Amino acid sequence: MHIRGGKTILSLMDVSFEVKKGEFLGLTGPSGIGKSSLLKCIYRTYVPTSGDIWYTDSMGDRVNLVTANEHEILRLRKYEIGYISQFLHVIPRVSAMDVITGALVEKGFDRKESEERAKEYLSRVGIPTSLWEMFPSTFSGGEKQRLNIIHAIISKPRMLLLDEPTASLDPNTKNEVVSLILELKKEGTAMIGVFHDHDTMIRLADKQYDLKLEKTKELCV
Amino acid sequence: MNNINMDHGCVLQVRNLSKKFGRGCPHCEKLTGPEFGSNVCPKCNSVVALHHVSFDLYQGEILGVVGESGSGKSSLVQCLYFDQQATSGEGYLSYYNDGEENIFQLPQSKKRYIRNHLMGMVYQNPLLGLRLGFTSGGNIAEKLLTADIYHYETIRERGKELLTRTEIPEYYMDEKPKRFSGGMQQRVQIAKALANNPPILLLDEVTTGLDVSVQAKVLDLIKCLQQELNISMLVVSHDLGVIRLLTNRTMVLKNGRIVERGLTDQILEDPQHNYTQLLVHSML
Ligand SMILES: Nc1ncnc2c1ncn2[C@@H]1O[C@H](COP(=O)(O)OP(=O)(O)OP(=O)(O)O)[C@@H](O)[C@H]1O
Ligand SMILES: [Mg+2]
Ligand SMILES: [Zn+2]
Repeated sequence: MHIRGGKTILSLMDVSFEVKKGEFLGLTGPSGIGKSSLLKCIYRTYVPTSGDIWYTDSMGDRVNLVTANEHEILRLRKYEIGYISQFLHVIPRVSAMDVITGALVEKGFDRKESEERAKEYLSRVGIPTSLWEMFPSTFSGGEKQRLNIIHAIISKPRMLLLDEPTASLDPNTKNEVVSLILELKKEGTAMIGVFHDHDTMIRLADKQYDLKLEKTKELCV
Repeated sequence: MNNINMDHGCVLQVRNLSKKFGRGCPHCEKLTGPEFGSNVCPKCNSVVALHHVSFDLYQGEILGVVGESGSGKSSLVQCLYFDQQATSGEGYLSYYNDGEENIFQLPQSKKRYIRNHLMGMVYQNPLLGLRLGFTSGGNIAEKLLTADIYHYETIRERGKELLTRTEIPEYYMDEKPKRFSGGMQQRVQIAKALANNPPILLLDEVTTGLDVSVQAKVLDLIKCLQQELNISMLVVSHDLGVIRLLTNRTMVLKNGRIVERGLTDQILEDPQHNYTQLLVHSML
């Protein structure tokens, strides 16, 4: 698989791996090797030059994420595949509470129930109640990041892509986030993640894939 | 013949839509376009505002249209709203006759029906969308009348409801938009466009010229409308920030042609076409 991002041409040669239900694959390799790019290719934010990415959806159908049409990708993003990036893009004037509730309502959950769950998750990652009705654009880096994480996991995606989601969190908050991720994993979510912090990687990953080494197996979830 | 793939939730299908200003000659299409960096035919001086534009709009989705000034964005929505007469092309609307008829070839009366009952438009220039000498309420009433709603009380009630929805204080109802701020005028335009409960909304640069905080409110309003009313929208903007916030899919226009289309995050982060790369990098 080759990946081109913006002006720089990164190339990942023959990346091959597979991830099963409830399994966490950690991506490792030196900075700049293309770990984030690989996650973006799986999410189709980047267009891989060649190769296949096979995903088995909740109906048991195998979908090639490289060639699936846009609406198919949007459907999977909405109902099955979550992605936690370093940044959260939200409309500036929507409150933190509404952002999180919206992640559930959009998927068809009842509003009341969604609000309850949003409160539970906001508390768990330690976002003070005084901030719930505030706009995330005014949040600190760490608060934004926590919001970003619960925004992606609250709806329990079947597959989750994580790009250094705990980078700027203090140890306590990081612990809470890691346990949320572990809970989700236990429920069967397949995960692929990048963590530059070795301890977190050890706690989460069932196996690791070093992008310098090349192995051949097709990716299926 | 049923051309539209409604099983998949497609509400509007456009194929090879073209719009030319001027007499035209056999060379217009061959001598214009992104590779010439121009939409003006060197032989006859006609403007090829749109050439073979095709896309599908799905139920409840916001589809973005980006491109530099003059690329044909306004021409596109104006052809769809029948303000401009398409030169050629096909359009099928799931809400009209089950998508059986090419809307661009309908007689005026049927086009008027589609415009009054099935579509809403928010113009780049509020002067085109509003009668500034009418009150806000009057503007909304005008749209309701065209949609065959004549009952005074109903019109009044619907007006209030729309102003609340678009967060316009109620006392603006009997004021003329002439004196309103830009943001408020856009809100009245949105209220007016929504009056007939259209399943499709066309928005041309709704936030252009508004200051950032007002912009945020308008964007927020549009997002809410999409989520709550499940309206399908075509959002035209040259502001990639607006496109990123509002849309899932985007098409890029240049000199009247679509040069790239895709998932919005992909267009912004991994643009494939040279022109899109330039456009995206110039915005960063
Ligand atoms: N009535 C007209 N007669 C002749 N040419 C026209 C007419 N209206 C538009 N054009 C031309 O058609 C092309 C497309 O114009 P259009 O208004 O669709 O651009 P746009 O992408 O909306 O630009 P902007 O971002 O500036 O609003 C331009 O070259 C414009 O000059
Ligand atoms: Mg325009
Ligand atoms: Zn010509």
